[in-house]
Amino acid sequence: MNQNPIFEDNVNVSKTHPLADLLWLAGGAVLIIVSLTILLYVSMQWVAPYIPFSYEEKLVSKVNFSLPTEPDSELSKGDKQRLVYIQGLTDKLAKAQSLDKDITITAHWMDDDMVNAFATLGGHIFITKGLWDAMPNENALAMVIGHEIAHVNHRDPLKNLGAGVTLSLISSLVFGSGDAGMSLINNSGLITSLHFGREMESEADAAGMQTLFNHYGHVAGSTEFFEGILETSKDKSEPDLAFLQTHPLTQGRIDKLHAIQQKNGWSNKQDLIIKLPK
Amino acid sequence: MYGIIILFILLTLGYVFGSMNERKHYKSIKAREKKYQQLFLRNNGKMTNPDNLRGHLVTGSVVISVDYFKRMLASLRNIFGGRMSSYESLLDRARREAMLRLQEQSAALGAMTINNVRYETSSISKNARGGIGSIEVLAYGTAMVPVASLPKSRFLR
Repeated sequence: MNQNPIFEDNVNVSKTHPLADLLWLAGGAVLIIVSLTILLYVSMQWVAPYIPFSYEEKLVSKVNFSLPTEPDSELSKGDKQRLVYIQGLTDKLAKAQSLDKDITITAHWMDDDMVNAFATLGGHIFITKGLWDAMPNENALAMVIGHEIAHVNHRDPLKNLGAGVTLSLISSLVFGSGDAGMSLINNSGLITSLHFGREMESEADAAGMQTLFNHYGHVAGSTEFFEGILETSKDKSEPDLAFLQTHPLTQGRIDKLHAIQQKNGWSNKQDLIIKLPK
Repeated sequence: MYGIIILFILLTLGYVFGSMNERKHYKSIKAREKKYQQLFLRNNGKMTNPDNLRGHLVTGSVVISVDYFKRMLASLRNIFGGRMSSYESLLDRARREAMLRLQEQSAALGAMTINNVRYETSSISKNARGGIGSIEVLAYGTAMVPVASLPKSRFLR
């Protein structure tokens, strides 16, 4: 009598355990991703200063930044006046910092109560309403702006872009957002605006201080805002100070600024401070 | 961060339910294969004793979809290459299930043998980007039914 054979051992299915399989594959993938990120990050540190600023601007103009800023035309009258003032100050400071040729700085106003300021690709710097309100005087604001301008001048956002692009590439691979290309840079643009390395921060600090001296002839008020914000951050009940996330602030950083001031013998007289307009 | 948590939950769910289903399914497959062991499957087309037997087309088809865990594993395999073991068991189950459905249909007709058995596989979501990977496995053949046991229907005569 004919009958179908029954195989006890299934040759059509591999014997590997799926979890072991996953462990090997995921481990390998993580290794590749990590080394790729490091490679891109390191190589960008070298390459970024040689990339013309116009390329960076072109890149940014193609990307719709998902930053929570209104177009300048939609700002209220008071905010618009403040932005005009900030842009004017920014232009003066940019001149004082002797930027690399063809770098232009554009200031933006963010109607947000968070205390924050940051620089991103294409020479765009962002000042929040919260930061403006927390500013004791023009000199302190100039220090923050000078610091952000220095980030742009040092091409820090671009240096971070390499790692940022890899990170968002990974997230789109893993979570399957599917949209490649520009949206990657779009997302990573936000990443690049945050978290500059410690070295980048302290270099930007020094450049900001130098800018202040070049512009005013003294550095009075330069550390006032930093000291104030560091003091408030010790008070735990204080609301979220986003500035501290983007600019990890320590006493060491402030001490370094004082050291620069003393070394150069720059004046720090309080009566030289300029008040902010309302 | 939420993305990672969701991914982890999906992976765990996929793995737990996927492997639970697989074990259950294999158990049922093995039991039914024993049941239909006498319903002989042949893949050549020659009929034996065609005078008192009549051939009828019988089909068994299965549509399966891959679970999240297997898909993840397979997408990692896409990078490194090698055997896609996560899909192997899935397709093995689909083929055997399709064959069992074919046998079930043939048994309902009162067939003793199924001649000319073939498999067809087609991908259903081939071009759907980001869509789930589903395939159909179709088994078809000619069930040889004794004329005497055929129902008295004019369609079957």
